[in-house]
Amino acid sequence: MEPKLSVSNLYKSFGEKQVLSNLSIDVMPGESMVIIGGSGTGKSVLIKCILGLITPDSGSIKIDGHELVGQPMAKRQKFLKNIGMVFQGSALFDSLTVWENVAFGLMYEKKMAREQAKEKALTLLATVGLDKRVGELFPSEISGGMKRRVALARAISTEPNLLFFDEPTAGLDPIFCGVINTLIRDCVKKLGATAVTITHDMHSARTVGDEVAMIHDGHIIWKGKASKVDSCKNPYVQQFINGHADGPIKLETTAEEVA
Amino acid sequence: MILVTQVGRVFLKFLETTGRLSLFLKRAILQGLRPPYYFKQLLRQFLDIGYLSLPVVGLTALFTGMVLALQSYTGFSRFNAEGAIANVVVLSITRELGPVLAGLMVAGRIGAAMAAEIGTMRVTEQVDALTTLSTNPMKYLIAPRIFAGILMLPLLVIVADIVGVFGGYLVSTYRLGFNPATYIKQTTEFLEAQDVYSGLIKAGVFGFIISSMGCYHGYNSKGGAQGVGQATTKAVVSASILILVTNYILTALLFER
Repeated sequence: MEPKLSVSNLYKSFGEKQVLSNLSIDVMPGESMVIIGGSGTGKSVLIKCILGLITPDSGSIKIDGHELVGQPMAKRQKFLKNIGMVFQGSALFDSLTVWENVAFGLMYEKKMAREQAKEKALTLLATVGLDKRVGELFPSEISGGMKRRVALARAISTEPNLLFFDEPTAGLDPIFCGVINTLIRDCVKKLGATAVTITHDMHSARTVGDEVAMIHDGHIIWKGKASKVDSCKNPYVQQFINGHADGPIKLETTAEEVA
Repeated sequence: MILVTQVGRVFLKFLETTGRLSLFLKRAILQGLRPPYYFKQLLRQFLDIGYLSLPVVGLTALFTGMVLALQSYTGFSRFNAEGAIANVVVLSITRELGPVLAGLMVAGRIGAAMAAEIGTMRVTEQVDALTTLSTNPMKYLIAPRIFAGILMLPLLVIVADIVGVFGGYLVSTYRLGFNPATYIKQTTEFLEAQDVYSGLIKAGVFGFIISSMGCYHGYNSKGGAQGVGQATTKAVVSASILILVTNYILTALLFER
């Protein structure tokens, strides 16, 4: 079977700093892939390269077998129509109300009438557990957890078949983390979509992921079933999931070095 | 040697920025002219740049016209040339002060707001979110602002011209004792169409400069609040300087015989 998303030999550097280095990963249709890794290892850069927000130095990114690297924006937008993304900070449009945020893709991309789009947006808000009164508020008037739910509703509004989540539970309390994880898992299943989630949160990784891959030094160092991640022998994975300070992953600067 | 290196570096940076700005504006204008069109965004910018700038532009023009009449009177009365006040007021306002002052006021009000709004959207990933929702930020954010800037500034300058001349009329007739009918006659007698439309051409160019600077610096802002603050400052300063430089070039082109 052809992978839904195929990244191969991807390189990206910012000045002297090599962020992605010969990174390759395949995600099969309907699979929920979770990419874990420390801060600054290139997880967000990888997603932004896939979405065309950052241009990679070299390598290949294919969706449904179609090459995206080097394609003009107009051509990439054809693929973006089938992609949904939840950003780390939610990235809601603060000049629009909550329902207008959710209905944005419906009105501008699907050309749905405003009233019809509002109706669908309110249904989507109900799906993520938000009351219709929230729809009339502005993003600055709602909490971080609610924003994340609105961002999820916006991402799934156009019924995409490929979803990306960048640290979907970052900064949320454990209860909200659980709610968001469950919503992500349910929404992805309901849509039958392929999902790629970036996270530091191992509970989140175990809940939403079918497969887990670990990124370190700009490339994938381990990939396997989510159910096997705890028993895997890879020292990098073990250090990461157990949160040990000692191990093969070195912090860039230690307190002793600074002193 | 160090000085030469520094000058060379500044010059290269200038060329790089000019190149980036040119490519940015080319993309925004060419993509903005192709469908889909975001009319609601365009109308919102018409309202922001045009209607909501009326009070500040109107007040500036009113007091400028009033001061101009007063200053001209105190100067011209030294050599009995008070009769030229109406002409000086109308020509100064329509040719120079209307477009330049409206441009500078709008640069402060709108250029800063554009840079801050787009800059905040950039650093909070809202611009990236637009892209992932299959919406081209150049069409949705940039092009409507640039087109609205070009179209709204001339309208604001028409208002500034009328209000400025009216300010001069008020001071001349109520404070300096001029005959209203004579003042109006003198105002219209020597005014030529070129005086007005040259000011409107300048206004269109200034509108383009203000919106371009606001959008460019906002779109390229980096970091957090500090980056947005720097973008706002750069937008206002660069627009103001470019307005003054361009004003000289346009005056030379439009009036030099």
